[in-house]
Amino acid sequence: MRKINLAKEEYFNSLVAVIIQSNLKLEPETFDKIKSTYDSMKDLHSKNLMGYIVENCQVATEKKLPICQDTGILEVFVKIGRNVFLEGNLENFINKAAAKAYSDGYFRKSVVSALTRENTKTNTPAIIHFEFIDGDNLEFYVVPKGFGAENMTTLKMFNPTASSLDIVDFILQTVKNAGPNPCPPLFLGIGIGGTSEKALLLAKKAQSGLVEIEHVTDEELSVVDSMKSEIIKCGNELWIGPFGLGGEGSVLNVNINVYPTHIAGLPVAVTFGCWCNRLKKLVL
Amino acid sequence: MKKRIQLPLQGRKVLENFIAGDEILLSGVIYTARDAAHKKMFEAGKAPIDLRDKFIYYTGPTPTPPQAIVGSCGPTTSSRMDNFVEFMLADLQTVGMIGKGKRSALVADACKKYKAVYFIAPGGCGALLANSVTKIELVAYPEFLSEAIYRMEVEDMPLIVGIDIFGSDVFR
Repeated sequence: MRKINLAKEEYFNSLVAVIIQSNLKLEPETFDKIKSTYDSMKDLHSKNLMGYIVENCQVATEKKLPICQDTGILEVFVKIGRNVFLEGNLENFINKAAAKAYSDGYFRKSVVSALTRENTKTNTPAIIHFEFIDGDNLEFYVVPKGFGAENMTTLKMFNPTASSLDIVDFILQTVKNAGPNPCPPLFLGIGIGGTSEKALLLAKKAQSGLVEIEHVTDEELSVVDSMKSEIIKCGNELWIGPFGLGGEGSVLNVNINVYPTHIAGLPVAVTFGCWCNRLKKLVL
Repeated sequence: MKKRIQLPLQGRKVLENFIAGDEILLSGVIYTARDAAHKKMFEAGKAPIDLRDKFIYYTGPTPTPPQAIVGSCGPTTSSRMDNFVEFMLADLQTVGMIGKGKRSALVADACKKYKAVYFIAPGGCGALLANSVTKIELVAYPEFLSEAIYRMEVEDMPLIVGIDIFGSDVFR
């Protein structure tokens, strides 16, 4: 067993720093997708618009300003090693770090009471999901989630007889309906299977690049791969373009997570990541 | 070639030169308001300041860091404000809206009827748009924090005409 004492200041400071960074700079692979899409654009209108996005990322880094003013509600996916003995209150640890990061980073406090709309003024509580992994690490994946994209989330409970073609059609129609609202070009997350809330969680993790393949068979993986390339290809043919103003660059990436489901159903969830699909990882 | 618009407008006729899809650079004074401020003004039936002939920017900026002029201040999704457009244009007599995304057909009709426009700011580009802001001050509803009404002075703010004064919509 490895004992991790959450009272250790170094751990707290590391999590604060990672949350701050998540709003200032995209992960290299995320920015590379944006930059390579920009570089490959042939349509001048699209390229001109995509140029704003590239420039915005550079300005954010230079000026230490949040990439987007919607610094989100903070989602945190925590993976706890089975050999870890945790000392302290993990939820408090995360929420305190989130509050400090949003204050020190001069980030927008966007979290309010769902009913009175009164602002909590700390951007907490964060949305926290826990799961176990092998080993003795404690991992945090922090995802500031903006609501322009979040509001486009869609769940459909398909009949079990639906084909993968039906699912792809539904996803493309969902992307088309969302149009400019989720700030395209998009990072799409798809969750297939489980129950309703499981499908949504699978989708959200997929959107953040947390793809789970441990329990997926080779046969399932090949279906997933062909769906993924079909969605990217047809999604870009929708010609939604940067900011939805028409053109090249509608879908930057798609990730799909799958999970076994019930004989009577087939839940499918789509979550939207704007072009500014933020994620940072911390391993303690 | 980007066209320039200087506020205040020398009459609404100036807007006839800007057609849906045009890229423009906007300079002058604009006012921020998003969901909470719209709801409050609508329920009160009036605005806390005179918004006649003013542009409303749908944004909730991040707090201004030390040594900066303004925080990130990109547009929020405009369609959430669609139901307030008639009130904002007819009753408060604002002349323009700045936000992101498509709007209901009602908004294009209202733009035509009240000689108003809807401009689109590049979504998610809050850091880039902060570069265009030369001054920001709180003018009303401080209790709404980022959703308060702020007066912003902007210079060469990069925008796209979403709905023009003739009711043409870039998304339709």
